Amino acid sequence: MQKSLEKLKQDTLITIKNSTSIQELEDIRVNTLGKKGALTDILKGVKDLSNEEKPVIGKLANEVKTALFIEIDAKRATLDTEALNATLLNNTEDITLPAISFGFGHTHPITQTVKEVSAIFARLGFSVAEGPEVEDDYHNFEALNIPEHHPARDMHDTFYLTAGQVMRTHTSPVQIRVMENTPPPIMTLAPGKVYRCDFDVTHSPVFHQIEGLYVDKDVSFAHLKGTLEFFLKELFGKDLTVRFRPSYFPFTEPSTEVDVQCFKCKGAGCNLCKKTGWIEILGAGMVNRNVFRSVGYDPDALSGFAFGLGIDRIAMLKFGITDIRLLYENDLRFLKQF
Amino acid sequence: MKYPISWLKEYVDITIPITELADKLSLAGLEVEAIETVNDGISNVVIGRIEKITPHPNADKLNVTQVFDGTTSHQIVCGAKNIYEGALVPVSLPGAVLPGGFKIKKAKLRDVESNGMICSESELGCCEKSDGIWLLPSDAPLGADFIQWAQLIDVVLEIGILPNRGDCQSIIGLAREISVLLNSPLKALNTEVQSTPLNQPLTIKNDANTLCPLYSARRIVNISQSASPIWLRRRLQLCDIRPISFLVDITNYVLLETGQPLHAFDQEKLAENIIIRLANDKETIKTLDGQRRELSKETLCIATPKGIQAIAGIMGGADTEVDIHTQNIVLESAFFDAQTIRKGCHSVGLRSESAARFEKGVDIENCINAANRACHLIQTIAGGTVDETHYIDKNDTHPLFNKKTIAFDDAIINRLLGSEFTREEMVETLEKIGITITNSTAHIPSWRNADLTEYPCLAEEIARLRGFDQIPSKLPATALPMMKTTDTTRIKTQLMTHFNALGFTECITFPMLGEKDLINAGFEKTENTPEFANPLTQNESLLRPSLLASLLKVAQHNINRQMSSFKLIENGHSYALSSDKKTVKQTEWITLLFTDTTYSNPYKPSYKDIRLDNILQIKGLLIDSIQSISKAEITITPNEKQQLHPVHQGQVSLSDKTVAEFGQLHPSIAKKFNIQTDCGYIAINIDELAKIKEETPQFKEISKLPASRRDIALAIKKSTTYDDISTLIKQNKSKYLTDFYTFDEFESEKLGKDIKSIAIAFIYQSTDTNLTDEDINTAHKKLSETLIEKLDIQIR
Repeated sequence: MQKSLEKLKQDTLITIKNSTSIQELEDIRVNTLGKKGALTDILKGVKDLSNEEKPVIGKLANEVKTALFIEIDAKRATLDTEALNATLLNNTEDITLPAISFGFGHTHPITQTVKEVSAIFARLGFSVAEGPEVEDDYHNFEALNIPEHHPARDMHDTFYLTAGQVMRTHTSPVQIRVMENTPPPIMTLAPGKVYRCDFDVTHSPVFHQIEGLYVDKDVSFAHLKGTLEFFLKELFGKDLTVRFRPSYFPFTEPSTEVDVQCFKCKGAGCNLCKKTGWIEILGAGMVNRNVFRSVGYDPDALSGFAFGLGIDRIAMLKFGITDIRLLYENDLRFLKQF
Repeated sequence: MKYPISWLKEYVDITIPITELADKLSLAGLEVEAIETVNDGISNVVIGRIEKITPHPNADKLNVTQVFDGTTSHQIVCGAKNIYEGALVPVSLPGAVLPGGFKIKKAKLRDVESNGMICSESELGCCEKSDGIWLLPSDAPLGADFIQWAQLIDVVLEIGILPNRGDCQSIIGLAREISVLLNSPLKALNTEVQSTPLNQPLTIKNDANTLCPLYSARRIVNISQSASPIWLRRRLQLCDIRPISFLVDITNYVLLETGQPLHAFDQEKLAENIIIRLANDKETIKTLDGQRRELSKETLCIATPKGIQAIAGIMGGADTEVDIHTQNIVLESAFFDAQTIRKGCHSVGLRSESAARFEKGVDIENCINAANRACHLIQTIAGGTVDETHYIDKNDTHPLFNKKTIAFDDAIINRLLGSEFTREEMVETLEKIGITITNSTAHIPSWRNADLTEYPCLAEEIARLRGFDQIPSKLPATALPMMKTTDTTRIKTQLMTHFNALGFTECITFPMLGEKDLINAGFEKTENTPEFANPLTQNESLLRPSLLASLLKVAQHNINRQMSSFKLIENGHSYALSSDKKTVKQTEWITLLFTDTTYSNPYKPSYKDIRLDNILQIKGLLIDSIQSISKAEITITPNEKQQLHPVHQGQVSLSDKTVAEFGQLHPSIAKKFNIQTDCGYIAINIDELAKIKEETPQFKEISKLPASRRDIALAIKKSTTYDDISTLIKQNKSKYLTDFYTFDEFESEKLGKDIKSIAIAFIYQSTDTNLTDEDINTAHKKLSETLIEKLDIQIR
């Protein structure tokens, strides 16, 4: 009897292994383990066994039964998975077809650049401020140490409104507005549109600047250098050389223009840098004492630096855009590239 | 300004390569914008004499000449009419290279051999256009190298002079700067003059001695004028000044050289009494350019009892103009107030080289010197008697004659620069540029009077001359937490990101538009429309009342380029004048304009017809975006924007503030911009939205009890709005109704022409009791009956 049980187990394990459908498996279960199945048949002989043999055979029979049930369940799980997989594989979509989606929109290269620049300065503690685009003469010029009839007004091709206001020619008036409304210390950034009545391949009547201002006790030109070097290296790469060149702005003194080594030719001279090896990026300087006077700050107690950079120029350099007018045509074939 | 190197070298030795000099200048704040090598590579042009001229046998317009170069004679065919036998001319012989790399070879012109070319000024790169051969003065050395003799090859630096460096707007001024940079002495101007007493009286009456603290006049008589020497003409041309006549050329030459504008009056046409005064209102003068100009009473002028003879510092008058026959002149050299000159230029509408110097401030101590330089040049080149008396009117009390001083403190300068220069280093640098230091005082030289005012000016001089690279770099020491982002910034950033994810592409447009653009977009110019006084063009003469007008132009641009589906968004301003016209109110918007399917590339049937420009989708798009910003309850009310579809539009309010508007574009407007389909419009007023006070939401207990749903399908008249139904539901709802929503809406023939079906689901739930079916049925029945009774509808 022991042998019959062993044989039943071995034979059935083989048939389970070879079964190919749930139905076949079910038939095996019924034929082997069912009420009228092979196991029951074998066990009919138990009554003829000796009392010593009975528990031994009984235990063996249970083991055979358990082993077969486990095997059948395992096989059923395998067959189920195979069946599901077969169904899935039968009804498939061609996933190489184009996606159907909302389609993502594109952020204007100017906005992308403003975000990038602001994020770098934010790490040093500069916060964003805004001011009006339609300004009065006082905030755009007078308060910035550019009185009427000052030759520096020639540097600004100003749009005037018939009602007397000016379109701001730079973002510098935001400096004045921030200082008028906030006690020092100040660390502020002011991005926005500015206006000049000038239009050609390199000039647009509307363009974008970011103004930065840092005022506190004992702010020095060394801080100006450190801050702008940090910014330019973050923006253009740590291995680029930055150069500070003396310049003139009525609202700062000393004033400087800041160049970075041309990142196309690494200083060798190319078309991008007009053979100079340098690219002019921004203007900056120590806040002129007259500017402090016009906002009621004490020029002997405070110092500060200010800088202004052309976003359009940085965006053009960054994205390789050759004509400033492309930025404002809003041609979707252009915008969708960024 | 342009600076020929050959001219600079007269006053300072330049031994380093020009590119190196240019770098030094740029790093000292004198930005070299261009280095132009003039006539680079030209060679083999000599001075020759035309010995013989015979007509060309085969050509009417040509001559055959024999030109002698000092050793040999060359046969050259020439077409110019101004040549004559004996004339000295520049000749390029075979092998010569002319400007532009043009090579001269032996040639046959109509069968006659020609061994070179007789040159004109333009062929030698000395002017744009010339009317014939360059005829040389009789003292030109025959056979000499013409290129060298006439200084044809030169290097010209073009430098952008900043408004504070008027002192560098001259050859001497730049040479002074170079002498500091190269540590090489500055050579003096030759101002030697042989003077003779003329005993002809001249009076100067100065009625404006604050604006003109120094005026000098000197007579020079018996000048024998001829054409200016070639070197002089050449230098003027290199500096972009056209040679005119000897006396005019001399004043221009000295202006370029010294930075001091001069004016020569024809003595015979000028009376003996010079009056310096402000013009009377509407007084006129005929200026050198032949125009009669009206002056204002702020304009300074030089007059005689007969009237105004010159607009001081700006332009001379035609009545006292010198010409090629003038022999006797009165030479003016003066200091005119910078602002007055600038105002004068504005009011007269004139700019001149002279005014460009005065308005940045000339060196008052240099006026007399410059006049002497001119006298020296006139006398050396054209003879003439210089009067021993130099008539000078000087306002000794004028502050310009007090030597200017600035407090000097090396510690304060180091504090501003963040540098560690020693006092000795600072003093050394400042003294190089003529600033002397005694104790704590810096004495400013006259030529820097206008520019240097406070200690940062000294700091700037020290920094630029010692090099900005000598100052260390430090990061800010202030530990200043970033200020809180303003509500407008936060809201617009969030909304732009929101719409960006939904497929909207950002545009940036100019806010300037023309009146026609406004009309096309359904707007009109009103008295509140800000207008430019000096627009670039009439198409950009107004500030927009709405971003819609700008975005419509963008739509049109793209449609005309076969991109007829678009989802545009812009964050920008609209503008309107305040009622007193003193200020312009800017309103910040996020505006969307779109005509497209909801899904990009919806090629599957189930996606194809879902359009984003459907009015309910437009509304949904807007509501979602507002709800992403604010939890306040949204109210939608009808709107009457004439640019939009008369019915398919509305406005959105939060806490009684209108924050946005939406709708479909009016087809008559769409048509003007070639938009052929429905077109969605949304405008969100960022300024208003930022004013909405946001409460932090407080948690409400979530009911653990099950919810039950009851549905109603209503047949209603088309004239009944969903708003009518929902208002009624809200007014009559039981306390257990927690939510209701539409889940179906349709029209059909079976229902009838004026009837539509709408199905609403009602959700009943309590937070504290287990509702029985009966509870719910009772409440639901009551609500259904109210709807039937009040709205004339049927339950289907």
